[in-house]
Amino acid sequence: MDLQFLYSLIVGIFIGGVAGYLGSLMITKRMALVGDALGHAALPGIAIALIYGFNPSWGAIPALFLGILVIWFFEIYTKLPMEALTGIVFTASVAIAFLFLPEDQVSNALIGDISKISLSDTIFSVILSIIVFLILKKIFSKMILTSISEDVARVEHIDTKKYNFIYLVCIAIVVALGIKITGSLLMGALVITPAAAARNMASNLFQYSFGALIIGIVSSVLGILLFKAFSFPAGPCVILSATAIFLISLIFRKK
Amino acid sequence: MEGCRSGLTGGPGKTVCRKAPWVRIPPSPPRQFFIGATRLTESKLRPECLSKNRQQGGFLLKYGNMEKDIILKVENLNVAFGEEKVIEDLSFDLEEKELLVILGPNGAGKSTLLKTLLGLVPYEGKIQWKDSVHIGYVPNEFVIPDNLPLNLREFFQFKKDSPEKIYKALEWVGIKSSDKILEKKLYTLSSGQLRRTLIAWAMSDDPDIIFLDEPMLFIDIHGRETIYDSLARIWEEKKQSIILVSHEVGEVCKKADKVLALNKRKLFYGPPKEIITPQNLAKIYGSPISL
Repeated sequence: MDLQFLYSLIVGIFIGGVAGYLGSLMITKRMALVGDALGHAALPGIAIALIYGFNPSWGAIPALFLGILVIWFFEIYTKLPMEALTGIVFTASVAIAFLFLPEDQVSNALIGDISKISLSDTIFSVILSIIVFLILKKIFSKMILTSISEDVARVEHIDTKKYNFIYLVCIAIVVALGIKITGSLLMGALVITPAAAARNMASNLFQYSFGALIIGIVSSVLGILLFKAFSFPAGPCVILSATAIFLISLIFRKK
Repeated sequence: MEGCRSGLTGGPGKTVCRKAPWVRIPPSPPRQFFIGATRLTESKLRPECLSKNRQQGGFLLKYGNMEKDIILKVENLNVAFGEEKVIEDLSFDLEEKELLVILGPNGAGKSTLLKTLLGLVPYEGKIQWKDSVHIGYVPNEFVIPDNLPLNLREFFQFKKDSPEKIYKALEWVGIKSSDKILEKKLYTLSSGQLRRTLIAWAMSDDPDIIFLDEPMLFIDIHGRETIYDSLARIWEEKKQSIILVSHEVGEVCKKADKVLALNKRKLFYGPPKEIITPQNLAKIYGSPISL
């Protein structure tokens, strides 16, 4: 097994897992399309990274944080739904990115490239994935209660503004990491499809969240194996693997 | 009579020390801030302030020669959403172990009043809570997202309740507890079962007071009877204070210690025998209501 492939697998396992786990929260909070939108909001940062030849995730992180801060402040001051604000920010980001994204780099930006992952990229991705997973695990039940009733959550001593911000930061990090695998165009699916499949088959929250995590890992591994075997682009293979699992989950759907 | 003590560090429960001889309450004035031209008392109540930040001590109210334990005292409360006044100049108090029913037509400000008392809405005026009060809250709207696989056991574990506490709370509201019921997903419960589960959840960690905002919304007649029976049992046996927002003027109102009829302003306030009369109800709801 060559080292590059091993790095790809490790990165896929960790990012796929944490993306699936995060997705279980995002579906509950009716933010299924936010991951997709944020993937696009990262494009200006990805474009800069590709122009100057460094890891797209490094470029995506500041772009995403800027995007999320703008959405967060707009939400507080306008009271407009977060989805509408995310829509405004992500379309503006796409427009900005395409002003200077080189044509030969468009494919990399949109569907990712997992074939050039270094050891430092791998370590960076693994550590960040673990940190984000631990944070999400800590806030999971609070975020579920907040998504059901924010008033009840506040009465139960939950600082909803603080936790929403932490949650958004986690989304930003996972999206920035996932962009390396799937690119900005398919990022939303990496977060949502494993969680949707897990939701079909779960009897309780534990099965739902950890089922999403496992399906995220399996999808990433399957996709990277297909990429290795047939030289298809890895990002679409990962997403199609997740979609296949989602279709299978319909057979085992629990009511 | 003890001197004034410091109470909350912020929030609607923050109290003002007045020199009135009958009140033993903390000394500092409420923090105030300005939004536009409206002066508001800070109401970013972190509910933990209610249960954790307060020092021991309550306040007593004297009615003539009779001293009563007051858990909540509201004075000159005003709430506005922009230019629209929702609650105007409202004053009332709640004694410990008292059942207060809040009546009023749609849009009267009943739910807003509960949210204001909980610190969820900015206000002007004074809301004085007894120290260390722990609140349970059942909102009128509690929508479980479609197909969310959240079962009863996990829902109660949000409060870190032990299985014994969960069983006990469910039995209080007439739900026969078993391992099987705990595995039931919340979205599969009927409206009545969900309401009773919410009441059980709100009271599972023994609050001093329970806020119930129209618990009979979307519940059929049989379900209402079951919930009222449960509430009556909780109130009579556990003797927790209850504030109940309701459109019902039947049995529950008769059992109440006091009824507060609200239509932005206080219309009537007092024992149900005095308040629940056909004439008063016609004034409250704008048309004759038969009892």
